[in-house]
Amino acid sequence: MTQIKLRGLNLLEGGAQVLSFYPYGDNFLASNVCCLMALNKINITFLAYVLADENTGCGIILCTEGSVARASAFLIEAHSGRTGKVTVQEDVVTISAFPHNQRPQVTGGLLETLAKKEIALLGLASSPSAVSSVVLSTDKKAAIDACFNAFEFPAYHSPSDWHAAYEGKKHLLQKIIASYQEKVVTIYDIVQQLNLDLWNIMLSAARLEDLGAFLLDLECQGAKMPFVVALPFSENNLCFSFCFPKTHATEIGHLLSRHFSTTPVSHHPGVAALFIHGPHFGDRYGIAHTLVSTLENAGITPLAMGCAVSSLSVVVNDEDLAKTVRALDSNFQKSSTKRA
Amino acid sequence: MSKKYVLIVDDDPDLVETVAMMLEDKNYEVGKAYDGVEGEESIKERRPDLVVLDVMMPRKDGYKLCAELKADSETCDIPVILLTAVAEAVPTTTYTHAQGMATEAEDYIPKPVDSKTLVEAVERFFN
Repeated sequence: MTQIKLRGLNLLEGGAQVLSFYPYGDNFLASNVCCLMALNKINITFLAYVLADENTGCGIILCTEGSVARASAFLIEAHSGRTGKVTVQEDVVTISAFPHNQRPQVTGGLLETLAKKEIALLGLASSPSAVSSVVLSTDKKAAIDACFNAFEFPAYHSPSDWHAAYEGKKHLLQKIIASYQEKVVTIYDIVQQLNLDLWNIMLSAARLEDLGAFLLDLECQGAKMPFVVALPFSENNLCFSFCFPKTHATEIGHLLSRHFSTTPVSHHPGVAALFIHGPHFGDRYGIAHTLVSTLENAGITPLAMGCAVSSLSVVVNDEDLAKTVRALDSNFQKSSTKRA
Repeated sequence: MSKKYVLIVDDDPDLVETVAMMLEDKNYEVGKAYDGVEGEESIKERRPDLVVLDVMMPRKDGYKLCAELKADSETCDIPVILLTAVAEAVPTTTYTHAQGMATEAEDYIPKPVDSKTLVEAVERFFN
C-alpha cells in the first residue's frame, strides 16, 4: 500500500505514565483519579479509559509531567482501596500524528510500523485531528523514524528535517504550559457522532501488526474510525477500544473473525461519540476532571474516553446521548453544538 | 459567487480542525497549515482572502510571519487575524498584546476564544 500523506508529528517529552485498573463497576476509577489530579493541580497531558467487561474490569492511563508521576500514583493508590492496582512507567513520550481524518489507515499504519520495529506501545488515543501514541523515551527516535516509514510528511523530507524543526518546538512546549484557569472551561465546540458501534479487543503486543492489517483492510472498505483508545491491561496485553459506524458492523465482524479467529471480541452496538474541541487539554490541570465529574453527576457511565492533543472524546450509550449533551452544555462554555 | 478562501495557520492540529469545521459550516473554503513556514508556503502557493494566524509556532512564529506579510507589497493587503494566548491571559508566555498590535494585523483575538467570536471576526472582513 502507498504511504499515506500526513501533515505533521507532535512530540511531548519529559512525561511519565500512571496506569490504574479496577474491577468492573468500580466507580472510583473515572471520578476519583481525575479529581485527585485536579485537586493537587497536576496537569494531565494524555488520558485513555476503557470500561472493558466483567472479567477484565476497567482501566485508565494518564500521562503527567515526569516529576509528579510518583506522587500521582501514590495519591491514586492511597485513595483506591484494595481493589485497585496502580503502576507507574517513567520516561515516556507522546507522539501525535495528524490529521487522521478518521481514516483507519492512519492508526493501522502506525500500529504496523511500531510493531515491525518492536517498539512497545504503552497507550493510544485519538483526538478529533490526531492519533497519539505513548512510547518509552528510549524508543523515541525509533518511533519517529517508524512514522516516516509509514507516512509521508510533505513538510519534512526526512526524520532529521523533522528533528531540526522540532528543536525550536521543544522550547515552545516548555513555555506554553499555561497557568491560567477558568471558572467555566472554555471550549470551541461539542461535536456528536451518532449511529456508531464500539468494539473492544484484548491483544498481545505480538498481534499489533495483525490489528494494523485489520484496520488497513477496513480502510479499503471505506469505513471511518472516529474514535480509538488502547491501554495495557496486563504486562503483555493491550485492550483496544474503537468505534465504527454501525453500517459497517457486518464487515467488521467478518474481518475480525478472519484476523483474530480465537480472540474474544466484545461488540457494543448503539453508541455515540462526543468530541469536546479545544479546551486546551494538556495545558492546564482540571480539564479531564470537569468532563468526568460532569458525566458522573449526570449519572452517565462513559464506555470509553480519550484525551489527547487539546481535546476530549467520550463514548456513551445512545440512550445517554441527550443527557450527556445537556450536562456538557452546562459545564463547558461554548457557542454551539453540532451534529457530524 | 466563489467561496472565500481562509487559511488557518496553527500548530495545534485540533484547533485547526475545529476552526476549519466552523468556517466550512459558514460556506468558506479552508486551507490548513501547521507552522509558520508551512503557512508562508501555502500563502505563496495560493493567495488567501484572509489568514487566521496563531502566534506561538515552531519554525516561524505568527508575529514574524504577519510582519513579513505586511512588509511585502504582494501580500500586505491580505487581512490577518492573530489568534493566541498572550501574557495578559497566560503569565508564562512572553508574547504580549502590544507585540500583536505592532504587527499591523487587522484583528487580534486572545485565546481561549469562543467559536462564535472567531467566526464573527472572520465574517466582519467579508460583509
